[in-house]
Amino acid sequence: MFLLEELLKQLHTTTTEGEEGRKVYCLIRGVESEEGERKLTDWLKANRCWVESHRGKFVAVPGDLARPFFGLSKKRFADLARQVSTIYHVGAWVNGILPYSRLRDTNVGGTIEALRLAGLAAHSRRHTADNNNSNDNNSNNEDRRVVALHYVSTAAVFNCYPGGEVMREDHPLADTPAAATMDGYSRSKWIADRLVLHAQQQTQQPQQAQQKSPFGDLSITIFRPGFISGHHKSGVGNQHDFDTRMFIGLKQMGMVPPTTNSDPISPNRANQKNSNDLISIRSHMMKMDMSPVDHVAGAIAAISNHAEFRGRSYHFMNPEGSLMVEAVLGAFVEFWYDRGESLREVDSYETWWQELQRVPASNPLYPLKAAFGKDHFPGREGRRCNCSNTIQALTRLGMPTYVSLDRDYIASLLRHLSSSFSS
Amino acid sequence: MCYYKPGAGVEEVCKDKGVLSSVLEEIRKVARQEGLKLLHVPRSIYLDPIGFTCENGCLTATGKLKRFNMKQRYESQIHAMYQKLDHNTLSHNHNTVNTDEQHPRQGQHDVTEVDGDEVPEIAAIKAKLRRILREVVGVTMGEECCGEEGSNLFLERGGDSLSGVMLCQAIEEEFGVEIAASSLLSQELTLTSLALCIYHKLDNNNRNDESSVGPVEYVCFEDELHALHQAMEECRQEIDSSEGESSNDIFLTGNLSLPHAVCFLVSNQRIFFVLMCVKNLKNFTLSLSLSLSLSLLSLSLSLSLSLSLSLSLSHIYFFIMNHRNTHTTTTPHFS
Repeated sequence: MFLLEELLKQLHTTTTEGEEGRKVYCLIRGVESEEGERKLTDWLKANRCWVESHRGKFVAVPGDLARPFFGLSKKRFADLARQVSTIYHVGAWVNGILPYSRLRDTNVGGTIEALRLAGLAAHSRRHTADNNNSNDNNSNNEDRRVVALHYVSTAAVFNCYPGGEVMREDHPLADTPAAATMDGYSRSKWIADRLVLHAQQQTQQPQQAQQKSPFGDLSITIFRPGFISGHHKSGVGNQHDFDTRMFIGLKQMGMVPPTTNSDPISPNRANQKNSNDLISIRSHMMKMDMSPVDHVAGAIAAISNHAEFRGRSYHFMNPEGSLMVEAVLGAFVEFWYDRGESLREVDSYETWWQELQRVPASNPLYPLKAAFGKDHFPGREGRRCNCSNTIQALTRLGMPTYVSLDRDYIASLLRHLSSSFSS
Repeated sequence: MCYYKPGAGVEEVCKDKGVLSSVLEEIRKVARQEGLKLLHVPRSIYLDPIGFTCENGCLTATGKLKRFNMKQRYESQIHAMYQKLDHNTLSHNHNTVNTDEQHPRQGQHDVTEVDGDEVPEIAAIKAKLRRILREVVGVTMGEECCGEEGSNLFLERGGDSLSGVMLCQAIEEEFGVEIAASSLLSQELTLTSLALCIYHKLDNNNRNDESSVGPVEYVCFEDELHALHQAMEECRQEIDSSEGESSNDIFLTGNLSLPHAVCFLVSNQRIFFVLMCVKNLKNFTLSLSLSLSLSLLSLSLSLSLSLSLSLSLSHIYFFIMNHRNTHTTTTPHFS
């Protein structure tokens, strides 16, 4: 509540400092324009984010990523294209189970529409600039403005390239027969990413060819984040992602695989185990790559705001800062121990895995069972993707290149989960 | 067998039911000889008097197939064939239909059904599947109903990702075959196709054949690239005809229920308000917990305050995506 009021004050201050006339258009699926606006206002009021001076700033327009022209009329779409010069395409339908055919319209179709909007914007810009140039000479500024498309992809596009190869940021994402092993989501993002890459290559051709290309002089930047975890201070994260399900599922099971209190595992402990157990230890020594959402978001915002960094691809992984799987589980046990609830730590991963096979469908881990191998807890190494573009850009911007995570971070993720779910 | 009528034009011959079924029979005979899986054997064919040429857009100049164009060109025919098959399948209630002995001209069996001796087993699988669907995932299907082609029998009746996983588990327990949850959720799932899939998996298990049979999804980059170029063509015509002032606004897409999108918006200094939309606006409060939006916003607002002066934009667009099929995953709870 305190935060909210503080925020509203700030919000109000920002908007009254000569920013009048700024509008926020909200495209919402499945509502009529007027109804959408009312709902939007209601929602803003319900969340105490409403300031009377905001009236008219928020305009709801119905739209849908999965439909041609985002479900808008061609005219509306063209109008939009004339008005925007920066497009962030973040929208995607993330689902690890659905097949490609169901995700295609949103993830691939939506990207095609975003490219279309960007291409349209690029052309309309030049169109206007030409007109202005013939009329007066003060419009040189118009010429310099370039339409930018920032596309948020995912590191999952690399799932179709098996083996230990490190994925560079300029990876061509060429066709591969191994694509059959990918899930529908990775495939849809893989196809979409390749379309954006194709457009990017077109825009980087020599001037003359560029003029002919439908993408004009668009500047296209691709961001491929790995696993995005909760905010590094507040712990606020995706309530439906793998880790959240895992944490809640483990709590419901009341049982966890072997954990460790030190990070990384001490060699002594490894030696005590016999060779069979070594398998589980080795797999447990995997890292659990997490990039806090504020780090990724801040980096994307900063990079996209600097023209010199555009037109390239950026990977977001956090292998340096991430914890080992065992340390994450250890922090999890500790968190509940501090709250007077002790979880049973079984002595081998296999015992836990057998228990996992018996969890009821009400357990959030149920649909994820297949992800847990017989002999290893699924870790995320995060080293497979090379992040040198990102590191270089962030260094030049004076921003941290990685976030060092610790047990307190895991605790804050859990604290957020328990505070928003248990009541 | 020759159904060729002297004096008939090519177009007429291509439409002749007798010709169609004898060609189909020939294909099926070869398929049987070569031991193709039932799933891979055509059940219906269409003969095109013209064929694939560069002129009708089916081939590239180098003679490669343009799948996207072809799909469009033959869409109605493909649809008609499926409808006919579906009709036959339903009207005969899966009784043994052995078309090998029947004259193709008799009855409506100008397109053949599945091979006769396999049908009883498939019918048994279907019965079991009906029970599983009813008992495990609460999806009830009538005796006659198999689901329509082109729509998913399971999703149409309220199934979702989670019950898809449960269904897989139940199928594995019942039949001992593994089916990927994603194939249950694909657009084309019917009871028949699922039963066939299980049947073939069982068949493979018996033969210790490791090769997996299942609906393999069609994913083609070239098609999408083609779709992109078509979209871009359309775009150029549009913009040339549109007139008006241009400005320097931001357009944004994203299902903002994803926290990275929320955070991303928030930390972009030029945007000062964040909204998200899940199934409908009523769910807003559910999905965007107060603490989420606010802790993030407060962080970025200090930034936005300092940068607001440098703003060059007068409009900010939010594109809030929301789809028909978004699963309202039940929010997990700590017990």
